[in-house]
Amino acid sequence: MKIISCIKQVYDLDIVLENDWVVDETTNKINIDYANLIMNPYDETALELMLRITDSSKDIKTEVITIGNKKSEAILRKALAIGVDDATRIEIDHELINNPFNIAKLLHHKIKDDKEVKLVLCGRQSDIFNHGQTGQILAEKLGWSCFTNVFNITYKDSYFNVSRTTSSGIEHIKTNNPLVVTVTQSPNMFLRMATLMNTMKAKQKPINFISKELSEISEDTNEKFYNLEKLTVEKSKKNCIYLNENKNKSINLQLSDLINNSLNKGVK
Amino acid sequence: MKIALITDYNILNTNHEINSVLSKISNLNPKTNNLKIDLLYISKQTIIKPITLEQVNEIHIYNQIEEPNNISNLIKVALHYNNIYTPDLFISCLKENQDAFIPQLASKLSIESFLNIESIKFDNETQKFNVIKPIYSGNVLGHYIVSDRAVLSFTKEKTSSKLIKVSNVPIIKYIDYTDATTLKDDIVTFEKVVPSGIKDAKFVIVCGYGVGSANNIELLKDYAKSVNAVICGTKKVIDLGWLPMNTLIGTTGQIISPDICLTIGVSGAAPLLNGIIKSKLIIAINKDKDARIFNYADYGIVGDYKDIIEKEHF
Amino acid sequence: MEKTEVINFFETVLGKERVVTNEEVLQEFATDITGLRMVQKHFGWKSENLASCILKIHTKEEAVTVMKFINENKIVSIPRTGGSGVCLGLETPSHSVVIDLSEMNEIIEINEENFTITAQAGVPLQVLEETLNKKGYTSGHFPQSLPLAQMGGLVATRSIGQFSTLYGGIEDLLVGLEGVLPTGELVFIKNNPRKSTGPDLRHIWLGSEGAFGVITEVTVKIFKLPEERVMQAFAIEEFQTGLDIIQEIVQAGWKPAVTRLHDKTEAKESYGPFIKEDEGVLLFISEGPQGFASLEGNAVKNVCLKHKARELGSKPLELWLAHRNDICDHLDMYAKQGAVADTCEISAMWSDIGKIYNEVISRVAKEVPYLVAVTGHSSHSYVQGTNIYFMFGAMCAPSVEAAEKTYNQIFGIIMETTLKYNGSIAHHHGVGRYRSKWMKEELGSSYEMLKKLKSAFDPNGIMNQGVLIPVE
Ligand SMILES: Cc1cc2nc3c(=O)[nH]c(=O)nc-3n(C[C@H](O)[C@H](O)[C@H](O)COP(=O)(O)OP(=O)(O)OC[C@H]3O[C@@H](n4cnc5c(N)ncnc54)[C@H](O)[C@@H]3O)c2cc1C
Ligand SMILES: Cc1cc2nc3c(=O)[nH]c(=O)nc-3n(C[C@H](O)[C@H](O)[C@H](O)COP(=O)(O)OP(=O)(O)OC[C@H]3O[C@@H](n4cnc5c(N)ncnc54)[C@H](O)[C@@H]3O)c2cc1C
Repeated sequence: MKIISCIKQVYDLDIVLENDWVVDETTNKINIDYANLIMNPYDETALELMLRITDSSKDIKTEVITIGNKKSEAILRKALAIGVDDATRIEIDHELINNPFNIAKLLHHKIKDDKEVKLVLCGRQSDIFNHGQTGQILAEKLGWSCFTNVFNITYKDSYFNVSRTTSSGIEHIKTNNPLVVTVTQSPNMFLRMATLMNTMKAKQKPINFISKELSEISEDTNEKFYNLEKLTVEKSKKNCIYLNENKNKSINLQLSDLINNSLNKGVK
Repeated sequence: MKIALITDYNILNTNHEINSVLSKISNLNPKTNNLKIDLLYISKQTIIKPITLEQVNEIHIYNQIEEPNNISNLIKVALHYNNIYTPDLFISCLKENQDAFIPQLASKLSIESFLNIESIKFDNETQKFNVIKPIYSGNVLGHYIVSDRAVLSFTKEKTSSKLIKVSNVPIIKYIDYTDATTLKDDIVTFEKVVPSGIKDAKFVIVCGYGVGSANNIELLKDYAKSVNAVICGTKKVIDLGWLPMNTLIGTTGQIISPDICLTIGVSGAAPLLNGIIKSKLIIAINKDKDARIFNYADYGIVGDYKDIIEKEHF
Repeated sequence: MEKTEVINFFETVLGKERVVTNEEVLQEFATDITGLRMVQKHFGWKSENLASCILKIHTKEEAVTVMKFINENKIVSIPRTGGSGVCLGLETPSHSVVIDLSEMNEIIEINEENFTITAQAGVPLQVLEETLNKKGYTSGHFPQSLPLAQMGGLVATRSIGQFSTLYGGIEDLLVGLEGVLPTGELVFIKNNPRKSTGPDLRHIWLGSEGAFGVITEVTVKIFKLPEERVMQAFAIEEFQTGLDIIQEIVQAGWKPAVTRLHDKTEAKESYGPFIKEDEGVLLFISEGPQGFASLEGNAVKNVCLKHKARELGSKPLELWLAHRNDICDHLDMYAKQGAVADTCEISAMWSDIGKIYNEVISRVAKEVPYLVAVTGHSSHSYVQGTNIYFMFGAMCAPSVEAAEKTYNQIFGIIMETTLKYNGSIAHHHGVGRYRSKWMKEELGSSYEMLKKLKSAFDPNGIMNQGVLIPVE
């Protein structure tokens, strides 16, 4: 049996400086190229879930797939260094196909003929475009079950035990059908670290490569899809009033007065 | 042009979710732009009395479905409707599994799909819909031109926006559609969790990573109790298991709009900000005077929160 | 003396609420935030040695009374302010007493004529700096622990800030001070610009780490906020090239406030998108009066270009300024993932520093079995040499002992290599209880002076017993 985790390299948006959230009029883009490239946090959680499955079932094979340029091999190597067996990169220019439909198509193309695969994990969402749909579309194309908002998944006696959050509670599913899950935040599911030695070893490991031509995506079909006409930045900044310690009124008194006043107003 | 609004919420009670969607599409000016809105109501309810529902032309009732919440049933219903009417837009307003339904339906129909959009416009000249949705984790808005047809949903949030009342009574049609579902042999169990009560709270305290530990959160819970507030957290706090998963605020959690939102040790990353920005009053406590949260707060206190929250709690 | 008697006495002096005996709090105060303890706590470590109580001191008079009593009764005591020490300097032997000055936190005077600020020992540096900023001044002192550390501790550990190449370390900033000797005398060193009146007594306090008494009040220099700032970053291929560039700049007489060299691993981690594979990064900020910064900035640039460094613009510095102290919020990140991680800073002359860096990096990589990473940067430079700030992380079996073994191994390699090349085993974190075992070798024949000072000032050996000089 084999499990696949789909991972994506993204910008670390948390470090972008506030003043840089501006649209460049000429390119219609936001220039955040200086932000570090990291593995999408939700994909990290998904990857850790996959590795925890194989911690206890050693005979399960694992693979990571990413779609991206040469640079994105960094996350594949990281995955190899923490114990994933295989890594595949599908070469394509993200700019061209940045929509979940085509991404899922590429993944489907890669996964569909591999009869060994029983489970595919995706992160629930990634930057930049935040579509949050890749896993679901992939499941539809494969004709497999799809569970969203999964925070835990284990494997025992040929069954997967999936736990997911819903708007009213938690659902546990026991299944032996092939499935795609999209992974959400999960308590204490931090991606394990690679030792330097394994990082060095991972540098030597081969990475499977699927070129654009092989991936059956023709560029003209993308033209009319998901036409992002323009970007705008519209957050309205406020003029924050700072509370300061003063002799007459301690800061926690000021705070509680502020709270009480606003609550009273709200009631009226 | 035709819009199909799919819902499994009970339309007989003045339903908040449906009204919220209707108010968000009221700016499409259905009348002048000649957009017809059908409501697909999926329920076991056999018969309903005439109701008023603004802007809706027809209500199509699919009431012979065994498991109305099952995703594949929902998709089948949508496809059934699609075969007859081919709407330009599907808008989904479902209790559960919206995030699975939308992309899967779109994939079946090979059309575009958008989850959690902010707003939609109609361009009369080009006769195209424009979808506006947060991108770059909510730092930026993306304006998409829908090329052909699409399936979409709006962010679920409490809206105060009112509907224009025209006391419209839509036509009710009962759809004769049955389908034997081939249910999978999965064993599903459901675990109820304590409702967070966040959506309805007047006063919400958002704890961030700066709170420091699970232990400190316990202390803040006492404080919250004493001021009648509900406590919730940022992604980092949920990731660490300091608060239950259903208390996450933000793009991937809940969008709230209480009277007061007090943030403690929250830096103010965009996905979190999007969850609280509609609060009537935002008060931020952060020890970093340059923290981004202060740009979006009405009141700010720079300092260690332990020195600011009433001493008795620490 | 019985523990209850001791506590009773303190309660009569300070009042009940200022004598803390709550066991949870004592456990929290049983150590500092040394990386080793962070991970050990994660594996269940708890201190077996708790202090009898924590004393929240509010006045110098109280400090005098307390010290006299402690000395008479030979009670080991641990002075403490911000609690951000990283060398086990705050660990409490059992039956000890913590003298906590963090509530002595008044700013006493900002003297705009003489350019000084006088503050009590418990004033957080961040508060001091923000107060100064509002009036157009700066302390020039920016340790990474700015959000955590307080004035007393900053003097007691001989701390240094990120802008030190211009403003200097705390030893260059301290003007005068007041403290209580272990024997209970209140002593005051007055404020003067310079003097020639025998040994500089301030230096007994600078780096005293609580072993020579309690600092109650300090006066430090203030500076005008700079009128102009020039920020520039460069990429270099070899770490040694970076060292050569810095050496040339400082020896030419320039003092870029921020002068940093990050090795390729750190550069990739923090400035990846700016650089090519295997490049290191140099960061410079020049600041001061109008005209000065651009003049210096040009000179810095010329030296860099001469050595074929590649210009990266000012963006890396903007990022560095915005995120340089984030670590203070994420101290236990590694520990949460079961890794031993910490930092260790050493210094050496220009002739040796490169050798130490190379040898440490290659030895640690070779000898430590589950190493995740070992990196280094130079962040404080002088005409004669510079420091290297090593950062390391390694996986270990999830036990208190395994963590200590791994930690000792890596730290040992750094200390050994540093001493081999005549470097100093601590550039700014201090000695604490952890590094004291290398002090004999560090000081050589002058170790005798330290011992004599200690016994002269603290005849009963009660003040922070075990720091600087190991208990024999
Ligand atoms: C695709 C995607 C979706 C995401 N969705 C969400 C989402 O829905 N919701 C969400 O929350 N996040 C989300 N995130 C994560 C988000 O980007 C941030 O990482 C997160 O919100 C940061 O959480 P924080 O503010 O708690 O922590 P930090 O950014 O670490 O901030 C901690 C703050 O606490 C302050 N502080 C520290 N100590 C104290 C003290 N003693 N007193 C006062 N202040 C103190 C610090 O100054 C700092 O500003 C998402 C990320 C991605 C990539
Ligand atoms: C994330 C991080 C970054 C750091 N970065 C830097 C840095 O850039 N530069 C740097 O120099 N250091 C740095 N440090 C180390 C530490 O912050 C400094 O040593 C700081 O000066 C300690 O101050 P404190 O108030 O926290 O002292 P504490 O931790 O409370 O005490 C430190 C030592 O000083 C003694 N002491 C404290 N107060 C007094 C007093 N009033 N009288 C006598 N003795 C006293 C204590 O007994 C102890 O031995 C860093 C630490 C951390 C955790």
